[in-house]
Amino acid sequence: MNKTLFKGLSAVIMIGSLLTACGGTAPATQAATTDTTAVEATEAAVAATEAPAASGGILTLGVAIEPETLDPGDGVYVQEQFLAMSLFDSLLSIAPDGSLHPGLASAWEPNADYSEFTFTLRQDVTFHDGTAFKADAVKASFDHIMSEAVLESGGKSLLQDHEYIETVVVDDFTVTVKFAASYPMFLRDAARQWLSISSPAALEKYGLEYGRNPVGTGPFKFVQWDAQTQILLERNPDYNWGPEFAAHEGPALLEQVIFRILPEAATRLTAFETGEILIASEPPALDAIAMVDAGTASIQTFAQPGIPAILMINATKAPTDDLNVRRAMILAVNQQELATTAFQSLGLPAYSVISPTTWAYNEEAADLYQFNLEEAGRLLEESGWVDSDGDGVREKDGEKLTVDWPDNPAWSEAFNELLSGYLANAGFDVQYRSMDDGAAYEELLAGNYSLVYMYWTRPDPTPLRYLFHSENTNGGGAWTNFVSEELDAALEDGDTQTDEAIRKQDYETAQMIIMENALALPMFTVNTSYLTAPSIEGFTFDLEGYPWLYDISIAQ
Amino acid sequence: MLNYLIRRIFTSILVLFGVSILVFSVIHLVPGDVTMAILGRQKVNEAKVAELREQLGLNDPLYVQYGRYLGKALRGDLGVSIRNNQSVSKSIADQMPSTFALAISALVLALSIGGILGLIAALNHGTWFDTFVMGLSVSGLSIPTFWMGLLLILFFSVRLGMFPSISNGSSPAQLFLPALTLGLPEAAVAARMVRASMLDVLNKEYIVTARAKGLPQRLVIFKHALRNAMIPVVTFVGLQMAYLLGGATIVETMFARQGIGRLAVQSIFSRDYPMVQGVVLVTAAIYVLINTLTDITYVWLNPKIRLQ
Repeated sequence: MNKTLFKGLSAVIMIGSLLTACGGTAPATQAATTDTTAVEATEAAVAATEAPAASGGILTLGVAIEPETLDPGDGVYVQEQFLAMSLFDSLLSIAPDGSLHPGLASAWEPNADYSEFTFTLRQDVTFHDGTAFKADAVKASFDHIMSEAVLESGGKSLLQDHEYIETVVVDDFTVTVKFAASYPMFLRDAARQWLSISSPAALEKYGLEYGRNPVGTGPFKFVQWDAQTQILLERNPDYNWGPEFAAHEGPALLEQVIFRILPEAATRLTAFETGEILIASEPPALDAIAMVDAGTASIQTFAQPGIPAILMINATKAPTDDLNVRRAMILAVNQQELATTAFQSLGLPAYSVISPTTWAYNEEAADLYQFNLEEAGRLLEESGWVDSDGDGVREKDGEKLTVDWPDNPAWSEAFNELLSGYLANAGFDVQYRSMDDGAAYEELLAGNYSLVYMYWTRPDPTPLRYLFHSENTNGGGAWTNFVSEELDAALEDGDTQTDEAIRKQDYETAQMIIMENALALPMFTVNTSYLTAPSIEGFTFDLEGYPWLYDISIAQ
Repeated sequence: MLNYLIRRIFTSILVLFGVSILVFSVIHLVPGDVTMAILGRQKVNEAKVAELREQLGLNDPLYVQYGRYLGKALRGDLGVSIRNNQSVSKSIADQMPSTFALAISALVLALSIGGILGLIAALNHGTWFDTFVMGLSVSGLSIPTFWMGLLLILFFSVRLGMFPSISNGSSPAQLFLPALTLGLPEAAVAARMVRASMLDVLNKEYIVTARAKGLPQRLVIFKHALRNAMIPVVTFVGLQMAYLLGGATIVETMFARQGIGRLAVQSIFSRDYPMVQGVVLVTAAIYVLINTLTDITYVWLNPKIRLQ
């Protein structure tokens, strides 16, 4: 009896320790923003490395995170966006240079205030399930995104934020998408994966299970999803409607693509070394560089557009409510050195609140601050912060120059310490508090923070409105709590202005105001990087930094 | 016997009940709010959070939430994952075969390696080989699984290219490295047990008699000694099975294998409440079931225990 109880107890303890062991070190498994981020298939994976088939072969890619859904309209994270790219097409397509091209729509026409958009659709497109692509598919896809079935998604926030009214089927191959608000960015957004088009028959057939049974018109068809292991796609032989900027026409070159889910970076690297995968996402920088130097791999990096990695600074809580203090923080950090130290030659510094690859990047705003520790010290002294007791931390009226940073480390804690080191050099006392996402979020809502980590991948600067417009202060995402009519006006006009030149100016103004007021400390541009085997040919990135699998082939 | 059986099953149910309460409370005591994990940080408005809390039943008192959970669990309904809307029972059922395949092959490897080494060590008692095997088994027990796995991958996959470094499915080639990683510490224990047990048996009088009868060494060892020496080892097997299921967590993560251990890790990271509860409850149920069966078998084999 005692023995039994003991065993039962040990079962409980074992499980308890499993829970606590795993709970303590939860990494950021997913990017924090809404917008970013068998067939005996193993035999197939092995076959891929042994004998690539005549035309293109089988590509096994190691990816870090498993998607939650393959329904593009329900997707939130980068891994979903990456897969949607191969399975689906959108109404329009964007070339890597940012120019708009036909997609499933061959022509498009906005109305005068950019609230209604009429698309003329291609007539030669079929879905993977054999049904013809017609106007009703556009309506069904957008209505699906807005339906109760989708709780929160990248696509939903795009449509909802611009007050989507409806999609009107004009005839079989003409649709009009209507919004209550002016939405000049819609044409670019209509090219994004979030708003790609699903088969209405499949949406109806699978209902809530559609995310596991996606049916699009893309260059690859969905075959199978083995939970936690892999997602298998095969070439769509009928595909003849690729974007005009692609390197080839007709079906994709690869016969099959296997997305192998390998959360551990070390596992991905080993599998790459042994040839079990031919492309590895997000390799550890040092090892990747070593392999590139040895000539056994190439590294493909892409500086993501949108908001780089920044620390938003709380402008209403002491001591960062003082402009001098905020400016001193930015001046104290040597971004170039920081990026190189943390990410080796793969790191790119950031100097502004949008990354240089983003449309409407304002170089002038990025030039406002050059690393200058003396100037930082001078500004702090001007505001009365001096280190009177010689402990390296400045004080004023008995208060230490403490900045509070509650966060779930999206990057390594070592990085955060490195950054804190720069600030400490200028006399800051950085209180970095590591916690999980939910707890960190509660601290933010309670106002207990000076710094908030943020990044947001997007081809245009529109996230600035979510992060810096005063309508979003007090928990809405504008964690700086900074209120400026001028800034609000620029961001609003940027969202609705139909003249592209003026819109660009709006965003340039916004960047300038944000940087002049030192509302964010830019750190580094977020890179996507992929390690590719020497046999991989035709590797290119799309505008948001996803590998364009359509043009990839494997050399014999 | 019947009395013992009933008592034993009753305590097992009690333990499971305890596990379910513990699992249920631990996940609710973690700081932070599950709705944040679902909705993310961006533009979360209060109405949406409230709506989601209502939908998930998070507004009810804890005991109501627990009661509802337990009631459904007893009917085999472990809820729906809040991460990907999949049925928890189905997700677990999908992952189970892979973990079982791993645990069983690890056990087979452990017994074969441990058994052979232990046997040879016992037969060469006191020689350098005996010392070597015992040293090896101490190392086998001391080296952590994650380190052992890395070494095996480095040698067998990277150097020799014999086995895949990422594993999936149940073919021998796919299972070998993960099973070896998981099985080596057990092999070390098995080697020690077989050796000790064999030494014990070899000194028994019936072995002396068998030898005196002029039976060939092969028959003495395999027919008389080994059979008897294996009894304690077999008991050990039942208990190890449960540990192997637990150890699969690390090995599955390391080799990126499908399985219940990895499901547990992933759901904990993404705060997938229903999935974590389901996985832990099912794992605990298996653990308790195996222990109960082992105890009952033991009693059935050995009447001396029944009297206590």
